[in-house]
Amino acid sequence: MTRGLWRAGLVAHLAGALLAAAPRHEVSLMGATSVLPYLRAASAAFMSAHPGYRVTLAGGGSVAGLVEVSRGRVDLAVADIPPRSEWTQGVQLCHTALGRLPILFIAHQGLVTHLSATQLREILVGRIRNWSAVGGPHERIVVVSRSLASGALQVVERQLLGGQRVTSHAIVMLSNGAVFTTVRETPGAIGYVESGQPPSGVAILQVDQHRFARHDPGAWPYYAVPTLYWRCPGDRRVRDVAGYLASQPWRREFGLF
Amino acid sequence: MRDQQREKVIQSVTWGLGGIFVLLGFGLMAMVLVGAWPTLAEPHALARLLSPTWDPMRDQWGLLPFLLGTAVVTCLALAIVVPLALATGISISRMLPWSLRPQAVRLLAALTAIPSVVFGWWGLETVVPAVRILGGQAGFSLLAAAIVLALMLWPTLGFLFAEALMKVPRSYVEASAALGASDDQTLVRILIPSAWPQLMNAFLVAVARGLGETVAVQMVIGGQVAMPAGLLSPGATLTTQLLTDATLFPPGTRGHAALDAMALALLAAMGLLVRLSARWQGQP
Amino acid sequence: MAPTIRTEHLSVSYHRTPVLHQISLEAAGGEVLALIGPSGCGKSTFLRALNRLVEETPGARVEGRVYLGNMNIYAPSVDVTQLRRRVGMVFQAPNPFPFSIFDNVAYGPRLHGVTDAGELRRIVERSLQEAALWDEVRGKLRRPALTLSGGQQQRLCIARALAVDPEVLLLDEPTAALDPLSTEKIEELIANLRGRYTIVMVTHNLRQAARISDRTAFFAEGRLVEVGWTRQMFTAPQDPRTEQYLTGRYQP
Repeated sequence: MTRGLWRAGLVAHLAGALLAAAPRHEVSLMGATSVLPYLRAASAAFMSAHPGYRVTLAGGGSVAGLVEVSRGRVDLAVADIPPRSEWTQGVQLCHTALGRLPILFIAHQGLVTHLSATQLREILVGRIRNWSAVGGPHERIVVVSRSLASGALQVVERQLLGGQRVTSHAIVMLSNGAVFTTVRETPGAIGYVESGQPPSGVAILQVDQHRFARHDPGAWPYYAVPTLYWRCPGDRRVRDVAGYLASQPWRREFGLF
Repeated sequence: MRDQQREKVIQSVTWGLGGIFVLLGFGLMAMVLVGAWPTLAEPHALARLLSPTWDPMRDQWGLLPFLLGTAVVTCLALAIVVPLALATGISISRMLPWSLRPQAVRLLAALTAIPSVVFGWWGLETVVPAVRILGGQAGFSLLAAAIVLALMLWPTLGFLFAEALMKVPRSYVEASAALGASDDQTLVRILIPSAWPQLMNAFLVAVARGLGETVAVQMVIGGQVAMPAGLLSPGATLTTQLLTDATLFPPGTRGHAALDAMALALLAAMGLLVRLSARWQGQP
Repeated sequence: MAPTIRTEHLSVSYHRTPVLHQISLEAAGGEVLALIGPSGCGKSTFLRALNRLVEETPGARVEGRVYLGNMNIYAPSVDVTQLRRRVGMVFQAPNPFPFSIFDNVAYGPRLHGVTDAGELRRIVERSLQEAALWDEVRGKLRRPALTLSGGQQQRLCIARALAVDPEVLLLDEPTAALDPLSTEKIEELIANLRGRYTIVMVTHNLRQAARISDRTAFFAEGRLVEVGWTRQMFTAPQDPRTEQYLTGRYQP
């Protein structure tokens, strides 16, 4: 008797799982890891509001996302750098911005708390090599940067360095988190992280008169713009998902302003 | 009759698998060669590839920093690990009581299975700060990478050395002892020369693993693309730079060809190792 | 003059299992003493106790005394290296090192500090001549020892043992792994070495013992049953067990 019930339950469960595993609309998304936490939360909200949709997420970085979406292997890419023709191979991409993600400059504690934009630039390109040159202690400067595939690096080089390159003597880390830990642990270190939540354990640098504050994000000039890309014109389900993801007001909680 | 048939089936399966293996190997080599061709075919290819500047955004594709990084990290790691592993192999094969030897070998074999990321993690927690304190620089460095790599290779090489030494026939050891050799003399004059081909092979396995190791090295080497200024300077190896830039250059781009050239350099180094191992075989 | 080697109440056990009980036996200077007996009777262990090689086996324990001339070789002051220089050994299976013929023979002298190339060459030549191998390997001394035939390898091992100028030779079934022709050569060689060295030889081949030994000792179950002049023992054994063994009827 009990076994019969168990079996019936099991069959019902399996059937349910099968139904759930075969949604009518499947949308895949791939790209920059910096906004994945928000996308994970938002796509879950989208799926519960729109039964029959299934959104799958993958990291891999901005470039990988742009390459894959151009080739039609994913529906949506998220990238914080603009597409280059060698990645898209001429495919026309439509886009909508998710918001703006602050890029914060951080230094090991006890060095300095603010720098002028010029000083910061001279440090990052490697022309100033000692903290004493910018009013800090006599200590070697260790620049911690990201790999070329990073959107944050591109933003820093374009907006702050005016097209100059970050010094080739920089220590290169593969993720945002690794930059943060390295700066926290390494005396003399300076770096940059994408984060809407000022991290603790490091000095958040004030640049010129600008200081990042969550309540007044407009006062801060350095932002990456994570953007969703899809092949134009894109079918409705893709545009639906993109539109939803780009319009949720609570994305501020994830540092997207 | 049935046995014969079965043998035939087994034989053809073996041949088939062997064929697939060879095809895969050659296919990989061909792929890398074809992929790297754009860099190799352009004028002054060698001079460009051996230049010290890697700046893909400015069309600078010099691999010298990575070639140097790979060479320095691998050589230094081996210089550290070979004496340690030899000492381990000797302790296990000669000094440990007989009853404990199988356990010791099993322990080493288990240690060889630790994923390299664990060594990298541990290196990040201990080796990098130690090098920072002792060397006064960032800590992320060729030296830190070499130390982590050496510790990673230690169980493998110790295990292979112990195996090689234990394979030396006991009759050689007895003959040596019967001629009045001390334990040390037997070790230096009989065990090591007799096990030489196996020891050499073990060494080459370690070199190959060292050349190819990526994750553990990446975690502590610092990833600097400029020419390293010394052992305490951060740097990069062929494999770590491949990992760093792999997502940046999709197939068909100039950068992808440069990555293929790196892979080709690694394959060439491995090929050289195989040649050397064939040459060193049987020569004490 | 080659020295006597004599044991007094020699007992050996491995991991507390006794394998030799209270053996008192003497090989006179320059004679050939053959040790015979069924497998596992302890005669190889006895041989290995005479150059303390038994101590290389884990768990071995030796009691009693062994005298080489007047020296108790188990006395704490004895240098094992020096002892083994005086007491050479040849094993059952030929075990040349995987080196050249020359390096095999020169191994012992080099261990003991001979570095002069000319002297080494003289020692190697003399030892190979003494081991009746010189004529076969002259001019091929750089070849790997493992390219020699089994019989040649065994004579090479004898030459290797002779190269350190021993006074006693211990032979552990030196022909067990060899064909009849090679065996004959080795036996001839042993007959020639007799008188210059005190030779203690373990053999399973009773005829061999009869042919080349002066005296024979019969071991059974870790004990010395009987020792005497070979001719006498083979014709009129004292102990019934010896007689049974010699006639192939021994049951332990």
